[in-house]
Amino acid sequence: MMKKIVAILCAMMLTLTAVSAFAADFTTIEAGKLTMSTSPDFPPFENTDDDGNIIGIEPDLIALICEKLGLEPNWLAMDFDSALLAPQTGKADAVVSGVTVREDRKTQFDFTTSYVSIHQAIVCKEDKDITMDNLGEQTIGVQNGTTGQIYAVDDFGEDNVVAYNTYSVAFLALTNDQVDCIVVDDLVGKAYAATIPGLKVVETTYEAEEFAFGVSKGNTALVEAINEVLEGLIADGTVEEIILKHSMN
Amino acid sequence: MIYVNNLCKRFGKLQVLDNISEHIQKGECLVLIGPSGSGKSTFLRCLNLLEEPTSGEILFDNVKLTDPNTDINKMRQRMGMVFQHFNLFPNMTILKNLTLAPIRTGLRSREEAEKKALELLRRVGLEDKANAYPAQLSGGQKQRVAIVRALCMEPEVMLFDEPTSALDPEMVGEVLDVMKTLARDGMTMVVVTHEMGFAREVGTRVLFLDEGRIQASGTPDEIFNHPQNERLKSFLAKVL
Amino acid sequence: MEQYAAWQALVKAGEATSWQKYYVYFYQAFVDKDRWMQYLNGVLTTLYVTALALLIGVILGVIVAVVRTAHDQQRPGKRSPVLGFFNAILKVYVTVIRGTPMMVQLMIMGFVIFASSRDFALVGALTLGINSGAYTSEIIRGGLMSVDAGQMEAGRSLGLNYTDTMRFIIVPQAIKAILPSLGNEFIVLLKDTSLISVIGGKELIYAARAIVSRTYEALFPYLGTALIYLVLVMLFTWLLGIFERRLRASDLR
Repeated sequence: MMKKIVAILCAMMLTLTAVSAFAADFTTIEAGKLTMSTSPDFPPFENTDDDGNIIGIEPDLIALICEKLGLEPNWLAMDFDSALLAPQTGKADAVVSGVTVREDRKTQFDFTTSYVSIHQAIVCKEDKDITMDNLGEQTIGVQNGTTGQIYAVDDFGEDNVVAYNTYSVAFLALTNDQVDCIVVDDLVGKAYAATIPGLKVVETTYEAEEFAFGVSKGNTALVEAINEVLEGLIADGTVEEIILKHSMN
Repeated sequence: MIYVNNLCKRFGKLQVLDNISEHIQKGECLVLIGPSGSGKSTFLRCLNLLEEPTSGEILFDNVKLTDPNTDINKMRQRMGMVFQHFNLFPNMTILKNLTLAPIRTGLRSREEAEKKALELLRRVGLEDKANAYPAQLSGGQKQRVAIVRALCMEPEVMLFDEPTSALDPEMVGEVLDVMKTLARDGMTMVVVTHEMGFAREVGTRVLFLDEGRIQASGTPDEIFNHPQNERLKSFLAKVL
Repeated sequence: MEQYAAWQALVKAGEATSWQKYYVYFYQAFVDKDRWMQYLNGVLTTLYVTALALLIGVILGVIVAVVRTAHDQQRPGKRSPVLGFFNAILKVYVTVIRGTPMMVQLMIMGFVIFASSRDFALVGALTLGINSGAYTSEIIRGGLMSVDAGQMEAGRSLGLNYTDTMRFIIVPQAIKAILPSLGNEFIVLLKDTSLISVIGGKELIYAARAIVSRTYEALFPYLGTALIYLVLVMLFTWLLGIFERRLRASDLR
């Protein structure tokens, strides 16, 4: 009898460790779930489909990571500036919203390993001739809280920049000619240009930016757990494959 | 002076006035009596078109008031009206209450209007109230001012709609006194009232209305001392 | 400034006391890089939009209220078809504006009707004004109707025309009933200006959000914004109170 119980217990412990190899090492705000804030207007990184599901590069990556960590992904959709504040205020474990790694942001989050490198791009109507040289003479649309906003305001001042709650509204303003161009991450700009006719993407000379997930400050165990999986996905080419898949359409 | 021909007034399905014809002569003091709901106030209010008649016509000084093209404002300037609830303008002093209409209608200049107003106020014993506001006056004083307000337009006829019904009993006398003086001075008056004493003493003719019809008409003596109509008899039995 | 730099380094290193931390947060929210200028510009836009919207709202409100009241008070046998036409249009206007959310109206005005305008504050003010006009008209209409019907009858029985009776008798009395609700509407309007940031209007909330997205610290910018609104509303209420008392003093009743 005793033997039987011990055997069952052993079996149970074995399964548990197999399913969640890291479970014991980190904590999340809601046990068994990875809660993430995001601004789902940032294709191909994240977007909503017709059923309201959050889809894109990052949700795909997170799905793989969560599977390995034995967690259930839990998305909180909000404006980007609010999404950036969510981990800090304890609303989310991490912000997963195409977040650029920046020195000043490192005081707010612990960044994971970055998984992609992108550039800022200018998106404007095809008949416009806008480059870095005459960007200062344009009205620039951005999303509130993005690096695009930071660069544009720093270089050309508040008066030349209009920040919207979401990039989708910013692109609406662009098609209305309410702004002359949008400054946005190149992959995102291309994704919008692919769906909205008559737009073109112009390269900028801003330096490359790294994207990573911003985990709430101090949750080192979670960062390490995510990194372990993420680095594996980068090494075996899965990340590149996912990015490629989403950038094609 | 005022001809009323086949006057009917309906409020929805309710027939308030049923085919009334009447002639009001210059200088007479016509008193309307009758149970409440008999239509006497509605009849009075039709005379200056505060109520729009459903059918029939009203002629004042040979002008058809019920014609939509008649300038009713001009005609109303010649017909004064006194209301049960005084309806003084609470946002103005007494003097302003009295002079607003004469000045705005171009009847008199400001100085003339004020002079006339003060003179009339003196006659009713209220000249010291010229700069007071209506809220500072008693009910009887308010109604005397309301009569003066109508008189300031120098009307040819005065319509009184239950002028003493909203007053405390001790104030009824002072208002009736003013009305008696007016009647004695020869003003044409149409008075809706429950004051049978006034009707008997001052009225030159009394109309008894019931259920929207004139049931009896005659001198105060005929109406009060020798009533013929059964309805009138039972009405008088209740009020006297 | 030096203090700020030194303490900021401590905050970054995670070694700051909470006093030092909040000092740094406060400094970077208001003082650093002259950020108070952004709030000031935001407040100026807020006030500009409020004032403009108020003006539009009151003018629209008065016109709508006057037309609708005049229509309802016509002589039964003498209805004007012109008045009836405008009354019908204005009724639709009031129904549509009161029946749709302000946010939707802003989106439609900002991105559809005035899709080519770049003066976002002006479009915002216009939208708020049109919205406010519908509510103001009902406030004014309610005020006019609250005056005892006997007042209109007394005025008309003296031979005064409709306009004069309204002007000298009804409106002065109605204003006392209208003013408190109108003051309330002004305050709602002032706070509603915060919505115009969705179409790119750079008012107070816009400034606060821009600063938060620089500092990643929401406490002071949002608290400060709330405080500024509160002060503005209290100032407004106080001024309105004085105005009302003046009005009452001139009318002993």
